[in-house]
Amino acid sequence: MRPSSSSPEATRSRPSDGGTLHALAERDHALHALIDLNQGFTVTLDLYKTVDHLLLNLMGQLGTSRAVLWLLTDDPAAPPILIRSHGMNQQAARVLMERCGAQVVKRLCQDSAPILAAAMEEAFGSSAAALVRQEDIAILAPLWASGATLGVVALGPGVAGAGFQPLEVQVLEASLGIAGVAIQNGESYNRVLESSRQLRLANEELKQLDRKQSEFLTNVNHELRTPLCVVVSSLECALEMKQGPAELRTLLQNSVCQARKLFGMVDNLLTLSELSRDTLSLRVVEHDLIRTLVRFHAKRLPGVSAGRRELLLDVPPRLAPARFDDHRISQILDALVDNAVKFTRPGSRIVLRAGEMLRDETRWVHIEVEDDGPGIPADQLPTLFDPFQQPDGSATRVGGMGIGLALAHDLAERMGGRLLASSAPGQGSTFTLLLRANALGGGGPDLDRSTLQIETIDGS
Amino acid sequence: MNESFEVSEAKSLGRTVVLRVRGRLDARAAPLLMERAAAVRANGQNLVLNLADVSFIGSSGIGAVLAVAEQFQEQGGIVRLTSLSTSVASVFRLLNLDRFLKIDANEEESLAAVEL
Repeated sequence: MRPSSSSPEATRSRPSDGGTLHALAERDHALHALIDLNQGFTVTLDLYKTVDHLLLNLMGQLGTSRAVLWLLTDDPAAPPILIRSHGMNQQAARVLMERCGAQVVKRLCQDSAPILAAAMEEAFGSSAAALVRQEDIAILAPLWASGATLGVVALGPGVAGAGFQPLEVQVLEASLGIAGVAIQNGESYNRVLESSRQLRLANEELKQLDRKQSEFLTNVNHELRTPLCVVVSSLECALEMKQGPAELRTLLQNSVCQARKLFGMVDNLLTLSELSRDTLSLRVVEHDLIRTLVRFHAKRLPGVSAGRRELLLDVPPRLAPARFDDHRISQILDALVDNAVKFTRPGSRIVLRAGEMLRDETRWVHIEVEDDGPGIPADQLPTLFDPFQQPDGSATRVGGMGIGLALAHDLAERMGGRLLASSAPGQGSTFTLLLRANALGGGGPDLDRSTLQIETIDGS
Repeated sequence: MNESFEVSEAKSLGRTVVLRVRGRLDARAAPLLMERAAAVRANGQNLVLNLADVSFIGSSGIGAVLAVAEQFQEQGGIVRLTSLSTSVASVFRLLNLDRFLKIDANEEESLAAVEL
């Protein structure tokens, strides 16, 4: 059914009803083609629909059953990208531009005018022209706008077997100019829409950050003022010197206790700041974790017990040496125990448990901090380690600055470890700190030291 | 300009579907015609397009008819056009499309030609 393109430049045969009438009919057809083209561009801004419309219009305008459009990319070395093909196999259309796109684009950019089959050899060279002829393409034309070539349009020969008339080529050129502007406008508009969407998202994130910052400042104000008030009022009472030695001692003990609490909070804030600026230096060396845990348990037991919560230590007789920073691990464990205390009622039980495990083909020593509190809803688990985030979503219900778990998580990762949380409403919570293990007696797998992104001091 | 455009299935005989097209076959209508024709082709059926009630055919409409004919031909299907309205016939004659498209006087002729 496809006509031969052996004489593509031949003039379409005219019926015998008079050349003038026929010429008028051709002009009428050309005018309607431009109106139709313009009408279609008012319907959509989508690139593919716009190109579909352009190609159908050109096919109807020139009476051909083949039309293809490729768009140039930002990379001048890359072949034009196939956008749509009617009547030509898509793979063939891609291959054609891969093989002779460079010559075609160069010449079309230079001439900014359609090139007909007869002129292709001179325009593109004999091998490129042969490839184009092989795909039965009768005309190659630039899609252009604002003085730049945006793409390439290929059209097959007219199905009537005739070539294209000068008026048809002129109308084609005008159509591609209109289409170029329409496609360029559509792309600009779509880019603006996408930028607006991204700005809206960024704005929402900024608003959320602003809200978190406000909440954080409120919490810091409250958390720092409370112990300071206790310290100041205790010292003022002591200065009045009306109390006996026992009362004086109690006042000073209160002051020391609250001052230590303040010290811990300031320390956490400084650590968080150092972590965010990536300036924190750690001393990750081999340690006996059992000894560290026994010491930690002894340090925290009085305070936790005073709050009417049981703090149990459950460690095996022996554990492989683990690699961690001794000072920072206390910060992590403090954050986990503080969190357990904060979210459990008096009478609850908190267990510190240690052991060894294999995970992701790595040998770990792990510490679990398990409580029998109300648990954490599943939807809050993903943001549990975000800074300034309270597990219940509010900034004030249980107090605190909302940095403890974030700090613990970041410190664990910086030590080459992991901090995981598992929980379900009504079933308590378990936080698991994984620390890289060395095998007892050197019989286990070696640690991959390349994964540690921090200053390490090897015990050996 | 706002005249409605419709494509309705008039009949289905064996492996052939007759679609009747009504109204202005222009840039807005062309995608719908292609969509309906593609559905026929997806079912492995042949197509007879009755264009008797097409009041106007624009370049996009002509392009759509040519694209449909090319697609059916590529996949071994048959498309025949029938009962061209005056406006369609004059444009087809101007572009000499009758040398490429199979055009019949009425649906019966088209159906008989498809069944041959």
